[in-house]
Amino acid sequence: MSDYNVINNPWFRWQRSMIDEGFSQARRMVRLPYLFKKAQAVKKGASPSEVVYEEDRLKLLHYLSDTEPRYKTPLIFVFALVNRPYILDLKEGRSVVSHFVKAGFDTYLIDWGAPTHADRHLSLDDYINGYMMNVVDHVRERTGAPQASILGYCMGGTMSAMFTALHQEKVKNLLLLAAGIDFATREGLLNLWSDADYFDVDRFVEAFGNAPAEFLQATFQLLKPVQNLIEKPINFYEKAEDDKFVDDFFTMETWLNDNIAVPGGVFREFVKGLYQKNLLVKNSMPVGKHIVDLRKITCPVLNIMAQNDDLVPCAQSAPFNDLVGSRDRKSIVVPAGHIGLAVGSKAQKEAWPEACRWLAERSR
Amino acid sequence: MSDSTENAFEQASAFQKIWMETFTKMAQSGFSFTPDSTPPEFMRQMRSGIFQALSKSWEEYMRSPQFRDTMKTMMDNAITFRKMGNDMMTQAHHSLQGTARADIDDLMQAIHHLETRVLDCVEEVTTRLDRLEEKLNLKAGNGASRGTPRATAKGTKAAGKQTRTS
Repeated sequence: MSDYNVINNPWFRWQRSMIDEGFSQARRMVRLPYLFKKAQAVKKGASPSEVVYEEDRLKLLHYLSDTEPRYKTPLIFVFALVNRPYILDLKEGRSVVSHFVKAGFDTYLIDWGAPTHADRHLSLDDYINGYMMNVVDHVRERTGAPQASILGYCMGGTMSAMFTALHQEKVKNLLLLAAGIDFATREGLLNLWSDADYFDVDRFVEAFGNAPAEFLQATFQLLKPVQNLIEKPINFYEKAEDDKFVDDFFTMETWLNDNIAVPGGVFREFVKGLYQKNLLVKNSMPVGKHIVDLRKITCPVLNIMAQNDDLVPCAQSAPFNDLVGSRDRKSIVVPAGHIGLAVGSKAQKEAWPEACRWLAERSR
Repeated sequence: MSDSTENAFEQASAFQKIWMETFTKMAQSGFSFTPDSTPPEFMRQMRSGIFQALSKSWEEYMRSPQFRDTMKTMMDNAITFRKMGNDMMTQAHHSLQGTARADIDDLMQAIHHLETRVLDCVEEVTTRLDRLEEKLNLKAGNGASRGTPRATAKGTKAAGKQTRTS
């Protein structure tokens, strides 16, 4: 039989593919012990940093650079209270922080720390008018800049919007990244599940104190049960021979499973005031004795959203630009998911360089 | 037919739909088989089809009132169970004349309220001082603004032990 006939014979190709698959399986099995070892050695955070401010459990990280900052306005990253903030500086080539550091911004990141049961009464007022205010004041004092730029991610974005509305004089530019603003949409499952008819947040907080990390993690997993619980492990097993994939997978999974509890007071206010009553778009969201009025935001605004976000759908973030008093406002929609917006290759190649340019033009 | 029977039927049909669509997708993948596709690749295609169908059906199911009712019942039970546990532990501690977590919580809340009240007063005093300072500056013909604004009293609310390590 000629070579041509052998290659084109379906039986031969089937047989060969089955043998290849068998060998692949064997190679994956051999690699298992190595994978366990690798999973335990994941490094958290890529860019060098120092702690410049501490308050209770909060730590403010300052990212170190070999060169002097090129822009006089410092930039502060505000992450959500739900997970750890190192997703913004996950690893080399997948770090949002490093984009800004390399572009010459004096960059800071708030690490809220993990709350304990003693923190169950902390409210949005404590976080926004307390911790955030102190951090911004400290950075302004340290750098001598009259204002700082703020970049808020997810829940941190919502909090940043509230902070800016309450203290506009301290914020030069506001960048929101997948931030929930208009909770009227029923596109996302979280909006449906947290409906007042189905979820009694007062009873929940009364019984549990803080919103437990396990509860939050289970809820997030349930948003895409087939992908998270079935497809992901299978996909990992099939690509277990690819070192780069394995490395990315473990880094990502380490972060995804590194949940922290949300203080009960904040959780209650967030669910009740935003998910159930949608007070932010009505300009009547109370934060302590203040009322958040988004029209008071007059600084330049960049709203970055993820097209396939199942946690904070675009419809939840997009109305922000129409609600603020700013004239200089821009939106970027990235074809990615909630996390891909920060670490995805498309966002890393296009969205973040664009965001750096946008901020550079407004930070002089 | 009673409401509960109707609900049960609706739940059953919603659940049945998931599997029906899954098997349909599986069958569709089977029809797309050609001699050119190798068995592992064909299996992957079939699997992908099944997962797509499952994913879509689960999403629909999780949006349904039936699922949300089930979730609500589960949450209510979890809360009740947790409360029972908390109450039992509190009673046990109290019967041994010890301090329960509920007592510490109450104390923490009282301190939190007290802190809020004190800080509100301090904030008011700070605002008054600022106004006085401005007036004095204006009188002295030195209307220029001060360098760095003073951190408001509200800003230190959450600071139990504040340290700066710059």
